[in-house]
Amino acid sequence: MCRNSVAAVLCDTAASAFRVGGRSVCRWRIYVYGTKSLVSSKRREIRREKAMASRDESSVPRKQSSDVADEISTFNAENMQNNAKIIYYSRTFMSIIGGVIAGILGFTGLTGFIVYFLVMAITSVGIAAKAGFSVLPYFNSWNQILIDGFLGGLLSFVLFWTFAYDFVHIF
Amino acid sequence: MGAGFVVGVLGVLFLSHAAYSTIQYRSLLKITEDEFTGPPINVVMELIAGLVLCMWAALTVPGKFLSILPQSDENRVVALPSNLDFMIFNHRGKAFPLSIDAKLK
Repeated sequence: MCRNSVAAVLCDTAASAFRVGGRSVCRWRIYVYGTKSLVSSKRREIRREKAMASRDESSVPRKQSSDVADEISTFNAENMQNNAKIIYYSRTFMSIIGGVIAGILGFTGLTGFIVYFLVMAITSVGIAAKAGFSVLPYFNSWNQILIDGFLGGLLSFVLFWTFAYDFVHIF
Repeated sequence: MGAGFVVGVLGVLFLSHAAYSTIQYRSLLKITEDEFTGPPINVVMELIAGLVLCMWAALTVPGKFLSILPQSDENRVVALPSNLDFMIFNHRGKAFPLSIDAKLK
């Protein structure tokens, strides 16, 4: 699929495609041989009137440029990890607290799991509120906030639910 | 860190007091030979208050969210990674259109 015949460029054709603003944008990763640095291109379409006039060697027809905004290709990975860690801690702690509450209230069977999902939903709303209800400066997508760790605290919930139920109702 | 931690401890204390009240309520029910259908309403209120306090602590104690965009104010200085083979630089060269049609002369 690589149209140019630059000998020193390797095109990675299995690059990931992202959805930006409803359209798919293919990102090509071009490894420049010899300099050992990673350069990622923004878009494949270049404006016809900007490039064609100054070039005399290219006769390949180009597509019109789309108005998809350029996606930022690099994120601060350390901060992404920090945010994911915060969400994990919050969800784990709230699973434990939800377990204790379900045990004290004396729920058995499926109603306890309803308590778990309720507590996790409230925690998701709380995390979204902490991020200011806007996904962008802190996360990549809404899935990371709302859905990602949803079932992670289930086992801790069941453990503390059993503890609390035994402690309050049996012993 | 300090205030959130205290709020969390307070929430856990509320929950343990609610558990203790429920234990006492159950022993009372054993005396009157009634069935346990649910804790009394003040225990439920206490549980809700404990849940709210613990929720507050769970959201404030682990730390603040940090911005992941490379151009935000606190991310300007980038540390070089220890692996020198792959370095990612965030410079203004990305503003130039990539000439994928360039040929080696």
